[in-house]
Amino acid sequence: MTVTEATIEGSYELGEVVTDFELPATSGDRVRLSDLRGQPVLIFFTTTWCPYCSAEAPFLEREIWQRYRGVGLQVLSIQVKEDEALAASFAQHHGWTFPVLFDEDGAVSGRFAPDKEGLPPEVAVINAHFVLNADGVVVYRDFLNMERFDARASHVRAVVDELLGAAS
Amino acid sequence: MSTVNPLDAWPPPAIRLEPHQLASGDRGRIVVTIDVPDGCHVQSAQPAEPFLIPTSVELDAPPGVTIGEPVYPPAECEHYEWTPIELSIYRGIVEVVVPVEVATGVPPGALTMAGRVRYQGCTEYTCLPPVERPVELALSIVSPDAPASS
Repeated sequence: MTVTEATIEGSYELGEVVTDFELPATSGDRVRLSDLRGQPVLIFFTTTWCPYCSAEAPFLEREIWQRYRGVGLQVLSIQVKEDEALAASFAQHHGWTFPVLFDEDGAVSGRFAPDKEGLPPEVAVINAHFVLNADGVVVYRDFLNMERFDARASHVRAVVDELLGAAS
Repeated sequence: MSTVNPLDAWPPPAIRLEPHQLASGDRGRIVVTIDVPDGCHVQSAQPAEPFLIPTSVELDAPPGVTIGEPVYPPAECEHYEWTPIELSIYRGIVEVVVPVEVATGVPPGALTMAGRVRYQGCTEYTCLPPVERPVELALSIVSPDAPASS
């Protein structure tokens, strides 16, 4: 069902509870992860300059958020060390209606970052996806792999389908 | 958290003047060269998507010197399975040419021209944050009757 990066170290492991965090959002609100307990959460990491992030952007809105918001999925985009105005513009351009959070110093993102090819954490985490169950436990994670990039987020969708027991 | 960008390990952009020196009233060109390592690429000057970072060269003209619009090389169109959009990229040696003209009456001497080169690159495996790298050119202004240099 899922494509996981079993050989990648660092980051949160499958079965691990994600440490709570709070980040500002484009809406002006602050979003705390623990406030979302009781519902599954997709967290993905993005930047405005990443071609992969742009390619995936419409599918995250259309195929994930619009499809599953009504059955309990929460989606959080975390913009990694990105200019706030630019990130908001990016979200608007792609029609994102889910919360877009700013991790200005990359500290939260760094906790999710894998040890990957010697890259700095704020780079290694870009385009990573994490699905947490209602208890905040990681049930799926993936990291950008250019050779089998999943632009339509179909792997995430399969996990969410199973988690929610929801047909599309 | 580390702030090291792997792009910092790429060769720094080079800058040269053609011809090697100019006199007042002369025109020439400044060539800025980006050496993109094998297997890597940078977004072109006109990327395929709105938020991608264009390769750009900005130079600050010293008094008495006028610079024109940079002329960027033709881009390669790269198609990937994961996007219907053809990415517009540069690989290998990328030369950006900037026309330069020295005003009449500029006395012989040494001028310094500073500038910035910005680009966003990807390796075979990942995309890297954009960087802005400084360039500096020692601009030698000679007497109009000086022998031409190579």
